[in-house]
Amino acid sequence: MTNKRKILLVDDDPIGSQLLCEKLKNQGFDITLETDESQTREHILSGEYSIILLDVIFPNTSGLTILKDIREDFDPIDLPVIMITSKDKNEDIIEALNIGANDYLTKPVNSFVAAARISTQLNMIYLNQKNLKSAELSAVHTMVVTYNHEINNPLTIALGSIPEKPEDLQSPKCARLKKSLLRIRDIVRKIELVTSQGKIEKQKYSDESFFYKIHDE
Amino acid sequence: MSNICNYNEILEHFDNSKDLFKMIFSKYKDNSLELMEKIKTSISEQDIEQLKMLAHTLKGSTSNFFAPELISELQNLEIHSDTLSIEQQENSFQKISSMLSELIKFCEDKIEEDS
Repeated sequence: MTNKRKILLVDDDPIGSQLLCEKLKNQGFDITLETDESQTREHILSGEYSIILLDVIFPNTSGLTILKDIREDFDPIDLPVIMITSKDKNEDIIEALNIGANDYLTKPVNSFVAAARISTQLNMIYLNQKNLKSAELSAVHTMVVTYNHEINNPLTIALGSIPEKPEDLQSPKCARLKKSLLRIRDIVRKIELVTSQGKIEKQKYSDESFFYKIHDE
Repeated sequence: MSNICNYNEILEHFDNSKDLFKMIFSKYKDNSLELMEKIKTSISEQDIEQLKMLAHTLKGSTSNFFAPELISELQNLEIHSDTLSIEQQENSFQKISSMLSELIKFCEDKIEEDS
């Protein structure tokens, strides 16, 4: 797990926010500062950022209103938001957590505490994505096993319908048919073998498509 | 030794980087003087909402320089400005202005010492 995911810091205080930015950059984080809260939505819709650090108080709006807007489109696990509040504003912290903030920091922000809390959220994203991938592969595995079973039934019927008399099998058409069906049966058995013992792995085919590779241990 | 702030605490907050301190202080100085002008205007125009917001913003910036009395006075102006008379607001402004000048002078002296 690395810190190389992008972080957006939205805070109208140019002093505290720049200081926090510099300190987090020194700790290896990729962080962008936005002091104009009205640009927050545009930044979020760009899809560039994995986590938002959001101040609670702005001159023209509240960070809690911005948080509500974010939560209409993004779940806390998809886009974590860490609120930045004053030490004396416990009611803001409680409201922010109730609306859907993932965590909070108090001013003046200690950069090591901030780094630890950001890393926790980034780890949660990573684990969630890993779980989703695992669930997706499990679904593919089930699908492959099911379809393999579905192929096997008509295949057995087809193989049983091939004439067994040697004189009938002399027909080249019939011999080719039997060879083809036996080959399909062989593939079905192999699929059965790897789905019961092997692994399915998702691999990228192009920017937008994937393929599933089935292989033995 | 000034009582306006705790330099050790400031340095620790700036990860003991005097360069970072110098860079952020320079920005703080310009920004805080600009905010003070706006606070003065909002008192004279009795724009209380604006006054609260400006005091809050300056309090936030100043919290990075660990000046407890200045922060406390800014908080007083932020929270109580709607119940304070104009004279009391102006008194508070004067106190803030004086403490801010002291903080700026202290930081400039430290930067001068280190250069």
